[in-house]
Amino acid sequence: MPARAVVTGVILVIMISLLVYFIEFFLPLSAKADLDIACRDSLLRMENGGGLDNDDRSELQEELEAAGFTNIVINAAANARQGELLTLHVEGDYSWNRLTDLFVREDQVIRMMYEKTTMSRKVVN
Amino acid sequence: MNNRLVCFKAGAGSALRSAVGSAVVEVVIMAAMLAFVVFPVFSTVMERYILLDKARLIRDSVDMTNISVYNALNTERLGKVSVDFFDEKAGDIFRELLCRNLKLDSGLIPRSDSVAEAQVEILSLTFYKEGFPVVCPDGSTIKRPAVHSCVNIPIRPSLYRGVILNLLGRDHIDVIVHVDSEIPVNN
Repeated sequence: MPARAVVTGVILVIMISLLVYFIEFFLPLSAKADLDIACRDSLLRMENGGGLDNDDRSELQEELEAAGFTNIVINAAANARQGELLTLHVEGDYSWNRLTDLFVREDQVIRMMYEKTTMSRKVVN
Repeated sequence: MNNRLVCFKAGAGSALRSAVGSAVVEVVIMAAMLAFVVFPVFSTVMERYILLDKARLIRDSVDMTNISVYNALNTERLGKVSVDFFDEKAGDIFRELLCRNLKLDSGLIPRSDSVAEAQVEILSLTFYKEGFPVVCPDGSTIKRPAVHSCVNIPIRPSLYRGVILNLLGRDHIDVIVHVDSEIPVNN
């Protein structure tokens, strides 16, 4: 009977490790969705306001930091007239601790990027 | 005494065989569960999540593109409280922004960093200016000035790409994205 208990225990540990391993695959995907949503909001404000002002830039930076991003780079025009193209380019490192082997967890870093273009509709700058 | 010892040994051996057999069965069952349940379920969920994420990305791009058509509004007519688009300019803006946001070349062929895997097709592009409410070709009711667009973006699965495409008998999966975006006429 002890043999059976040991085998059951080992199987349980392996199954739980696999489950954790699989679930952790979704973390970077979820972080990318957070990045896209935050950047989309900023781009809509840029389109309306004719650019990304300092307040919006800081707000975006804080939002991304709260979502777990580091080394954030935000490139966007601060001022554009109606009909000019506005591009928001955002990059950031997302790091998370994941299971890489049975009982081994390591920090992983992935660089994520968002780049979309819209057209300014602010008439007076 | 000897008979009892033999019986005991036989009983212990049988119990040991039974325990070893049951452990082997458990390992085999676990391996089968992993191969036929856990991996396929995980792959299906993951694939579906990635596809939905790609579809969301494409929908956002098309929505931003639709809204940019604002710049093709006829401002003279707007001053007379009438909404009108310069249709050719609107079409050009839509095409240019779609290419930029989906990373396509001017022939709607995807570049290497595009989410699309083959030539993108604009299935419909309509500007609604008056006569509201109207129903767009995809069945949505539009109550304000809006841009309706429907775009076919071919994508490929991320996991087990070859297997899925072989099963479907196709080179790619067509994602048809339909977006109606209201045009903010009074800023």
